[in-house]
Amino acid sequence: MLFLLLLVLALLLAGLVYPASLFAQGEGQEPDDDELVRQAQKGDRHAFNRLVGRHQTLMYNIAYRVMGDPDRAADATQDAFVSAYKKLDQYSGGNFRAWMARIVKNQCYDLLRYEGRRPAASLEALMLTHDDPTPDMNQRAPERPDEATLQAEIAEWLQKVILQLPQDQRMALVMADVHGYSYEEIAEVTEVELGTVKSRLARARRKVRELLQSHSELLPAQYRL
Amino acid sequence: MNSHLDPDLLSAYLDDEVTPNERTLVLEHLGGCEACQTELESLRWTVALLNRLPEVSPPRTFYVTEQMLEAPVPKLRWWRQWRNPFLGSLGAVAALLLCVLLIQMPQTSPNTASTAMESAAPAADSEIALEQEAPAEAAGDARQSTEVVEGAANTETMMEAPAEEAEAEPTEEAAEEEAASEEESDAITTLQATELSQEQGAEESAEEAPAEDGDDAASAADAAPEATLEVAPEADVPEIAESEPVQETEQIPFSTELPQQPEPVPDRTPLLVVSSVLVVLALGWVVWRKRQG
Repeated sequence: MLFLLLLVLALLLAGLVYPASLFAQGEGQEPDDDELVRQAQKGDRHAFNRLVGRHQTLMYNIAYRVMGDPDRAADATQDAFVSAYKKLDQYSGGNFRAWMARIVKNQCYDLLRYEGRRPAASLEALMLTHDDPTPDMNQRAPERPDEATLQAEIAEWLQKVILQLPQDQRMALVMADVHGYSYEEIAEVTEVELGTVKSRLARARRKVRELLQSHSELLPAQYRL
Repeated sequence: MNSHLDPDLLSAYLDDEVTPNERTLVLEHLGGCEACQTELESLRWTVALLNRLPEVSPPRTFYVTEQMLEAPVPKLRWWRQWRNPFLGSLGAVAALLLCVLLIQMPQTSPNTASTAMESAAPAADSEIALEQEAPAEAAGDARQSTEVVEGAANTETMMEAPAEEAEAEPTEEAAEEEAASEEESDAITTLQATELSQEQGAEESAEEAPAEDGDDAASAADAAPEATLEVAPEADVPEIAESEPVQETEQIPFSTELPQQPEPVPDRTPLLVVSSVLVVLALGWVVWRKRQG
């Protein structure tokens, strides 16, 4: 009888401790972006760094596609996060991803303007550097060994085509077709009207299509139009 | 079909970013236009290729540290933002306008006018003194007349200086100033001629005055404080007729009227305001961009 009482008591204690440990770890209750922003606005830098962890890959990729250089993209991304932390009081909730992307966009534009960087004059000039080593790229697991190389080469070439675009069109194309931002988000990030976003994106796509079609012999057969 | 769909509309249709009416329009048109179908397919192919771009792994993490917060953010300093073509040209135009206005403003008429007025005042004062002392000191009249003439000449010279400077101004203003100065010089010439005749008469009366020294001097001394234009003719200045001083007074341009002012420079206050507003707008844009990051 005593043994049974002890067993019940042990089970009760285990039932109380185990759920509590779950809550303590926070599993299943990940705070959303706005909650982390509220904590960060109170001075919790660790809460802000949790936001950084969530969005740094996306922000870096946007910067990389716009800048075309991994080091400068890293600088722009780091500066953007530092700047965002200092301006958290200006964030009034809603879409942190779009708000952060706007800061990244401004940093990229400032760097491009300051450095006076211009895209190559022609795609042929770009193709002369076709054998340049590519940055570290995560890719899908290739079905065949040569598929990885093929994908890497196409990606590198596409990146160079994107760099041919004016920076406004480039930003719209990267956000929409590479990272899946909606038109409304792009309008918020680039601070233009919805109609302007549609126009820039349409012109960017036509330009990329023309460049791809003019050098379609460089594309594998399955990728040609 | 003679007309095709707007390429922007086709691109938005790919993303389903069209209104229901636009979607209906596109679908109906595509049903009978091969060219637009080809255009749509080529756009779809382009977007599909871009979608396949792989995600790039960041070379490092971007967590914010205390050290980063203490160090200044390596961004463009505010003066480098003037490299923006629009901002740079706006600031340059505003600065140029301000410089032009500030350089030209001290040369405008208010300073010249005050100088002219200051020279006119002593001339007027000396004229009044001349009228009062006419009965008693004819020789003094001659001296004061000379001073008046010299003062008028100086004033004329001072007035000619801005007139000369105003020649850089629009030609209409220069022509008007030259005409005014010509009129003044004519008046001065007339005055000088009249004064010369006065001097001659004064000298004659001065020669006669000592002969009647005692009584006349006393009566002249008594009359001096009450000297008026009416009293003056009764004094021993027979050459100066009653009306002549008045006429001469009227001929002197400084006694009754202010000397003709040079044509006032057009008011540049609106330009100053506009250029100041441009500078403020440019600075405000810089501050706003800084805050936006």
